[in-house]
Amino acid sequence: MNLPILSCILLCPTVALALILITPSYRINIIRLLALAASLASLILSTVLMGLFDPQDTAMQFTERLAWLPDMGINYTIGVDGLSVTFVLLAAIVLFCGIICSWAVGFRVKSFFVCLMCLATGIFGVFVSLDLFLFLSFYGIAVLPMYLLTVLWGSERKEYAGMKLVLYLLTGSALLTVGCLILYALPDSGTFDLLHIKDSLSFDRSFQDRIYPLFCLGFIILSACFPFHSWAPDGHAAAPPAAGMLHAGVLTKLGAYGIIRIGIFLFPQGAADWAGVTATLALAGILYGAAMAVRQRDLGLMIGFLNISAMGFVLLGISALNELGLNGALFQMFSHGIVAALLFACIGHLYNQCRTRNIDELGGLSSRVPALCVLFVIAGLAGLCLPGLSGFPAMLFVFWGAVNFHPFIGIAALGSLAVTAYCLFTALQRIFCGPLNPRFSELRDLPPWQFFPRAVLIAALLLFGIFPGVFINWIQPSVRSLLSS
Amino acid sequence: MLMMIWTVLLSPLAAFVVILCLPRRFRILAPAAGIAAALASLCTCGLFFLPDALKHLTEQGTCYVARWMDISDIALRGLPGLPAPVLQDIFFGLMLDPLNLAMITVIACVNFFVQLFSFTFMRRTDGCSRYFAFLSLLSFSMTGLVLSSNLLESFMFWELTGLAAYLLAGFRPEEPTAAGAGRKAFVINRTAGLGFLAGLALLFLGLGHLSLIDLCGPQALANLPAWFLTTTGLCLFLGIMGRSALMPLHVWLTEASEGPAPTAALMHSTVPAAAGIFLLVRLFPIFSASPTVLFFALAAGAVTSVCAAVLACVQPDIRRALSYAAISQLGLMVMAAGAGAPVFGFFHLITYALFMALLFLAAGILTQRHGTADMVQIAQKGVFKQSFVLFFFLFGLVSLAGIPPFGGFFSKDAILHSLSTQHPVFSVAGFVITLLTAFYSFRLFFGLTAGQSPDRESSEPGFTKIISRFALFSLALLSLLSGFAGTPLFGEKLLSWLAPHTHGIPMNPLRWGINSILIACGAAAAYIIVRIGLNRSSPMPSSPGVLQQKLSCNALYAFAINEIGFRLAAACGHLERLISNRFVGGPAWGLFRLGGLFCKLQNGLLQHYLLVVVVVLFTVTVFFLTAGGILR
Repeated sequence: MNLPILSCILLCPTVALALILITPSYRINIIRLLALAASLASLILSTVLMGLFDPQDTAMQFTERLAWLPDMGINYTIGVDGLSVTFVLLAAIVLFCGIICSWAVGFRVKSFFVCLMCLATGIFGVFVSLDLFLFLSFYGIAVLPMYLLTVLWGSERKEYAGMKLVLYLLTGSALLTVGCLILYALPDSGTFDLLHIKDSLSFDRSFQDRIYPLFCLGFIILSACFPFHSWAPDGHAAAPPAAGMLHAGVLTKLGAYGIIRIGIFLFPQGAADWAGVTATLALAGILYGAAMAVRQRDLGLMIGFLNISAMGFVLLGISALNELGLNGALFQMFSHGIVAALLFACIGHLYNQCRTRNIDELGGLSSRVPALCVLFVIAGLAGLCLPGLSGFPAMLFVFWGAVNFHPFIGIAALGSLAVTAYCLFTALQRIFCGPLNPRFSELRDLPPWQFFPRAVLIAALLLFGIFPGVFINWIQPSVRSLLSS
Repeated sequence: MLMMIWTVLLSPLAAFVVILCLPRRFRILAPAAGIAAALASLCTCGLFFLPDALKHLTEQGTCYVARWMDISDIALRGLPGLPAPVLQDIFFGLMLDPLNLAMITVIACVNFFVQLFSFTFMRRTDGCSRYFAFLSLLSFSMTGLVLSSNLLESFMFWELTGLAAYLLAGFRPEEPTAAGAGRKAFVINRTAGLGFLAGLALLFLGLGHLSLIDLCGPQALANLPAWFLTTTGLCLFLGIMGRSALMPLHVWLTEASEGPAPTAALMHSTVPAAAGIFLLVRLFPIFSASPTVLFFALAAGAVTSVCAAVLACVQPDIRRALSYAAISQLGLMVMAAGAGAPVFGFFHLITYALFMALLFLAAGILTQRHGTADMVQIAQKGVFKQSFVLFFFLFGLVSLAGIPPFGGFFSKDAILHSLSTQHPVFSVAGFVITLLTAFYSFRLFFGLTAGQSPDRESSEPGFTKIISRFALFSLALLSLLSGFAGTPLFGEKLLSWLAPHTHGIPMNPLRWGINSILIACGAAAAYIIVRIGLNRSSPMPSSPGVLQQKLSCNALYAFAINEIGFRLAAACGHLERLISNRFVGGPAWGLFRLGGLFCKLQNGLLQHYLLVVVVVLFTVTVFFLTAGGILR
């Protein structure tokens, strides 16, 4: 069977997008079901992809190539290896859960799902594209609907947050565009094909040292790492739940993925020379995110800052440039993607019900919404890397890698987890314990079918937490070949 | 035969899962599931003491493991000053040796009786089934921690015990104090656990594996530099300090004492407080590799033990007094390990776990009957008639005070022996602790028996009374027996079985004499102060302010969090505003102004446009004229 499986995954949301566009806007249920069907199809296909994927083969698999603008060296080239295949699965899981979680959206349903499908197309596209031009195009496709989603369906301070998010992200991708054009304009180059550039060009050390920071800076902005993070807490808190889940869960991981896929892959020497700087930035981000989270009163912002701390761990693992650290970084991206999605799914329901996210106004909710409370506790525990959930092995690998890179940086980063625990448990105590605020005596708990998407996320957390070997086996050969080159 | 160890581990887990999955109508079965699982564990533990099974049990231990993670082919460079480690795959599984077996048996005993007692105590509470689920989770995680064959696995179970303790301590979420106690328990244990994790990372990156059997083997730590052993040992010890509630990390345990009585009993006697001591004994080869670490442990244990004993002397609340007493005893066990005799500490842990559980359960009944935990109020309401509960409470107190021949006597004597042979200075601390222990135990003893007025009839139905009495009676009996098992009278079977190379405890009449005199002095002092104080109806002589503030530990944390932590966070907040206002807002504002400037060009006024046309025309004309050389 020679099904072009990656293109099929990519086509699922695109076809759904087209079908939703031609559906009359009052046919709300058909629109929702179309979106759900597309996400389910992509979930099934990406599960099949994981099954067919051969971890031991470190070359690109499932590659497809179509000429697009061959005269300009631009082709539709897609493929996955161990570094990227897990993100396809992550995106599919989060998309599926996000669509079920946004079933309650009632305002301009058609436009909402059009934007969401557009976002999903962009997200799937960036992780499979092997052509820099294609990569940037898909990124653009993902960013613009994010603006609309935030501004039209968002919550508090949505215009400000949406504008900030888009400006930051476009600045980041502008830097990347400059970098890609430089690579294109090099003598003997004339192509955007990543593998071709790697094979045919050899960069000397001084060039690598100059070009690596450009790419790294662009990707750091996209991945919301300190000090270019300030779009993320605002943006993710203001976005509607599904968009927050997809963006915080998946799209910020793209920045870190880009550092690995383009930065380390093309410029290993540059990455090694700049590792000290990126590791310091990562440590600053880890501590800074945790410290900022302590004082936040808005639950969404608090989670947003904790995400920055978590992304700092990813960058730290990447900067360590050893196998443990890189494995850990990839694992952490996947695991944190699930955790962030779960947290934003819970916050979305809470905000829908209470119309506030201020933890001082909430209180005593455990008697009204026990199920939500349980979900929150599980998500919080996963966020602070409790053993048994997938955050723990991920953090462990990053930590071991970082200690191997520099013991002080590793151990200082670990300290942030205590602060994270303090923040999350203070928030949980304020929100769910104590006397019930009479204003919230009419709250309704999650309807039973809304458990399903959250249970899927929790199952993923448990599976990879108890059997992390499964995940490590997927990524390790590719990581090794990346580092040995 | 030894494979049956899986039953001990998995039956509480099964109970946890079953209880969580019970439909609402069958919630009433939750206690039955929990108790059945605990009984299964206990019986399996008992089976291992049959001669048949004991034969198979070797000193090195038997392992049943499976590969958890496949990382052996990862190449790393070494830590500074160390050779590159050869990583080994991480195997998880169970290990069984005499130390483990003794520990899980004690845990299974305490757990079974506490569950039995919980049935009588908690069955009318809201969320009773949830409570039993958490109890089973706690017992599962503690058993896993004890039986782990890999240090990383121990750590995972260790964190799970922290979670279970959080859930149990914060069991009634609507009570603010309960939620606060749970949070404190989790955050402190988490912070200390991170120290442990850092120690694990150093060990792993230094040696390449974390297998317990290899780590504790004779040659495991040879050729490692002293700084590495000291740093690793201190990091690991930080974790143990948090878990065993050594000062200043003890605050969570005293708050947990105000939770439901069975929870408090479990948390003080076995999980998680005893987990720290167990790991200290288990990892003793690592700690003993560095004299600095051992001395630190000795000093930390001594400070904790003395301070907590002093605090226990002034607590009006019987649960708090017991809690400080427990911390003091835990400190004593750490001292034993610091003096190089971890087995004696472990022996004390066994007797301690049994009588401490007894004390907390009995205190729970007293507190529940009288609606208060204040010693004087209970005494005034008249406690005499509840002779059965009171009898066991007093039994526990006497064991705690260490009067021969009760359990606490022999184990405490072993610790004093090791202190006096290794560190004469610290043996003075040991004797001070003996005196203080006698004082606070007898203070409770005389305080509670001082009451005169008649008791009300208890309204409990007969069968629950029998169950709770059975639990108390069994615990008392076991604590009495366990003390004897380690004595010279029984040929020191227990100690030589746990650690074959231990020297016995010589009978030292001088030490016994000093001990007895000190205990008598403590008891006499308690009698004088309490009885005379009560008779004068000014119940207790007021204690110094420092002690009332509990040595200001809570204030210390409040200061650290509010003054230092929040200030730092506020500084970060300023930085955040600086970033978004100056570095991002600044350029944005500049662009905005630039746009405003260009706006002026298109303000719609015809005169302005005309002016621009004239100016441009003039400039162009002048330029060309100059260029053409006409205007010179």
